Amino acid sequence: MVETGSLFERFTPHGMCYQWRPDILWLNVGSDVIIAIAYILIPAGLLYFMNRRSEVIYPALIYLFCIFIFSCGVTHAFGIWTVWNGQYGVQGLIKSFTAAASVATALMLYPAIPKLLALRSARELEQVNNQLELQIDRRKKSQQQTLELQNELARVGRITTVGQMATGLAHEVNQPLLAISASADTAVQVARSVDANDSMLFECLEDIQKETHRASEIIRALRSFVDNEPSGKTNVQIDSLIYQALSLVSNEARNADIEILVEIDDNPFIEANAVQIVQVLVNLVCNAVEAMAGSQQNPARERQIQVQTKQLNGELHVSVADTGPGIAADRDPFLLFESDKDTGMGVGLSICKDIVTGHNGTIKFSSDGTSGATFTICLPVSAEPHMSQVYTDD
Amino acid sequence: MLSEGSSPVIYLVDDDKSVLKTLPRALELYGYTVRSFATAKDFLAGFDGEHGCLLLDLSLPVMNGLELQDELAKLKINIPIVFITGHGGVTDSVRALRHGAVDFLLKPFRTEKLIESINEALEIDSVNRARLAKDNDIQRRIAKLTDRERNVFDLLVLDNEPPSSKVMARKLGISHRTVEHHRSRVLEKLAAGSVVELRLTIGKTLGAQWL
Repeated sequence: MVETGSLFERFTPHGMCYQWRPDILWLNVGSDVIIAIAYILIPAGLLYFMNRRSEVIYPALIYLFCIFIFSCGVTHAFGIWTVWNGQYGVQGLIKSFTAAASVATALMLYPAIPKLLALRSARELEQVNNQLELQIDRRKKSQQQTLELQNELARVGRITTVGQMATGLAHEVNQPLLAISASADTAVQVARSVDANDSMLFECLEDIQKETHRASEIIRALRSFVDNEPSGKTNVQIDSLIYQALSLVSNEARNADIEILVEIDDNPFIEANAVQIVQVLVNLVCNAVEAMAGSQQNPARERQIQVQTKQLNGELHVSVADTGPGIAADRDPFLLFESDKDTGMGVGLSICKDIVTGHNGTIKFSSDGTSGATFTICLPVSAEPHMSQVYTDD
Repeated sequence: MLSEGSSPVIYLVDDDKSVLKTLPRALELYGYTVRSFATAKDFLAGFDGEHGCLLLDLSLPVMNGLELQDELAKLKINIPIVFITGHGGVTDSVRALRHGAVDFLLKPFRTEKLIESINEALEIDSVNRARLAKDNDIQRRIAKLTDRERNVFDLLVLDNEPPSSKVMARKLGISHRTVEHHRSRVLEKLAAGSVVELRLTIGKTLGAQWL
């Protein structure tokens, strides 16, 4: 038996206090059983959660909670024991352990509260996440744009290479062309001196001359098209720019069985970077050629490109009209052509727009969606045509 | 005129064989004498200073056309130049013309057009040569003056206003009569009828300040 005065001394069981009334007794015992089970299950659950979750904020605090709740459970379980066995000393020991655990938990909990509050809530995290996704989208788009610009740049680079080649080509080809031209002139002189009065002979020789000079014009146009020497603006007449542009694209048009008509109604001077305006014109005509070449053309309608100039209210209007399928009204051609071309000599409609804007002009487009598209560039006419050019190709 | 008797020579400098073959052939048919050179160096070695003009290709190996133009200026060879080029840029043409070129033709060009430029160049050369001949003649005549005559000549020509014989006599420390004697000798030796005529012809040659 346990000695009297020991901590383990048995006192009157707690049931006596209930006077062994079964309703009171079992109400208390039952509740304590349930509480004890719950208090054991809760830390078990927490430990399981901790185990599964790789990173947990304040693990020590959670461990303390586990110990505190478990010891509460044990306290309640021992309460059941004391109903029949009055070992209140042991119960006190258990309670004191629980007290220690609860104080430790409380002491640790309060300092942690501000830090726990600083943690983002799930909703906040979601918002942040959405913003990040938006940013990623934006990045992807700008990456795409960068890529497109790089492609554009690469193409411009290729054009530049062609330009360097054209400079060499101009020199190399013009030498034999001069030899041909001089020989043709010599032949005319010889034929005259021997009284050869064959008109066809002279006609042939004249044709040789004409074609020689045409070949040279094409090379010169190609060269000045890609050459960046005349970078500044000069006072030029629009017809010379139109013919320069057409000499570069006429072959493509012929191949696509397209007729190009030119109507110079007005031929004013404009203050312009000739090369850039030629680039714009080449681009517009190329687009027109491609629009017609790539479509199932109504055989009854002629394949035609009409280039027309007109002066209206101090502005020069240069229009390039085709008889192709047109562009649906709801589509913006300046976006439409932005990225879907990787061939041809043009620099893209968006750049055309930039060039025209840089000349204080505008570029417009009209199409009824079925019968052809018309692009019109409007440029300010220079006030005083003055002859400032040192030499002109003629 | 010194050049009248001899027929002019067209000096052609171009590195392209077919140009060297066909261009002289075309020009010779019009009666021109053509001498061809493939490089600037060959031309400098072979140039004999005859009346004529230079057809000069812009891009030549080692020394290009513009460099040869500078070299000729340095050597004081005053031959009119017609540039011919297969790929003339504005910059090159401006530079060539500013340095005294007669014309700047882009290859290919019609023979008629070339002949126009050649004739213009030959005209310029004739004028240049006539002036040079006259200058040389005057220089020769001036060299024949005696020291005293030269003193009188300098006083007559170099000032803004020709001084009176009295002033000259005082300056030179000789008699009025002697000055008048020397003056008539100067006019005679330089084939001038009067002091005014003398100042006009001599002034141009010597580039006197007052002209």
